[in-house]
Amino acid sequence: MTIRDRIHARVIALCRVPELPADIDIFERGLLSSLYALRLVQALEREFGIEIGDDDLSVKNFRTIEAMTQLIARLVPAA
Amino acid sequence: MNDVRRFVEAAIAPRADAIDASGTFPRELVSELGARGWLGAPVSSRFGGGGWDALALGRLHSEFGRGCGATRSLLTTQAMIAVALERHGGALREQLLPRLARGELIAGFAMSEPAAGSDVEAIAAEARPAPGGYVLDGHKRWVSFGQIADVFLVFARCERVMTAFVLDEATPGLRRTPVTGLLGLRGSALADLALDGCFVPSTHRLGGGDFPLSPVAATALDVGRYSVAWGAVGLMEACLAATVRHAGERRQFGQPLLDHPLVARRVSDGIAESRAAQLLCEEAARHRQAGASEALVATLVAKYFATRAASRVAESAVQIHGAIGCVVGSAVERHFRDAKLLEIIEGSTELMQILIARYGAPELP
Repeated sequence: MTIRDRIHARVIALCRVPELPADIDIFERGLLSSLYALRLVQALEREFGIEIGDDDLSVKNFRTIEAMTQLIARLVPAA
Repeated sequence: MNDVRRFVEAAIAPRADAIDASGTFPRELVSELGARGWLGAPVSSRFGGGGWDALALGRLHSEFGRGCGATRSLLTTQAMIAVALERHGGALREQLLPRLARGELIAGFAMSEPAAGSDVEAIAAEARPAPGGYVLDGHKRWVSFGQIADVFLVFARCERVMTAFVLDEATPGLRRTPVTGLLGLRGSALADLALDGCFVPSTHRLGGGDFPLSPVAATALDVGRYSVAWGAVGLMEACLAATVRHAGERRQFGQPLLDHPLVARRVSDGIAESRAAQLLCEEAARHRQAGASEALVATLVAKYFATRAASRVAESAVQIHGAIGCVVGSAVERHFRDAKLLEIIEGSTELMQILIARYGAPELP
């Protein structure tokens, strides 16, 4: 599975949707409450065995599957 | 954990009513809890803590919840701030965590405001960039241990983003007003804060990016809910132990109260609820120790169930004690008042319901 596929699997499970295009803004669509954004961060940290630092805890990095893929690809270049 | 239980029974429970009546918290007890390693339990050894695992930490907070809600509240608040600092505190970690762990520093959690309770994203306190740091203005309410805190974890809007700062209590422009007349947890030394042009150096701004709910706050609240859930378990155990003792000794209509079916029903319901709450807390502990993303939901469910159950169990305890349970100095009277607050602090029952309904069901395959 690619990084994008693994993120996609985690995000659709968290958002409880069967499918999610990579460019959909999950916060704007109301698929994930900001009260719950920490869980998304933790899920990605767990999935990829990384810790996402404070500098990367920015909404723009988590809005879409595409943005998350770029973030994770940067943090786990060998994956 | 036996040493904790012995200490709570010998040194905490007998003082609980006096702490409650005082409306504040004895500083010397903070130092003792620090010296015994219990304030530093959630802090990793790298920063002078004990690095306890989640289950041991939960049991610790449960034991204190059994003896004194205000003391458990101190452990909760210190843990919330210590864990948030360890995750997001950068260079402040070396400076603050060892002293928090030793009980040399007391920290206050300053998030709620007159118009921002459960809706924490509505905070209006403002942090304006200034040379070398930020200037904070605003009002904070219900700050646990705010009367005696040496430092505060303060949340304010900085360029519209909810941001966390560590504020020293001696900062010019900071004024604290004790909150009196609380229903419960009266020993939590609550205060309201007025921030009037308080300067905070840029080194005292915590990380956490630009999420609408600061990850610093989310981390702290998650720890707080976990602690409060375990505290509720301890509170229930205390109420049930007192109730069974009383109902076994007191005879009415020719038999012990405990043999009256309506009393037995209350007691048995309480025992079942208490054990169920403990199991949910243990489930949350397992997920936390595994670093599983399920930990957040498991903690919400544990907090929701345990605190509601604690209210019911404490109410039954007072009911079964009768007039004796309605008098100040009766432990169940204090637990009854404290239990109600557990349903409100670190996220109300209703907020838990909204989050659990939305995210608590099993994930889609």
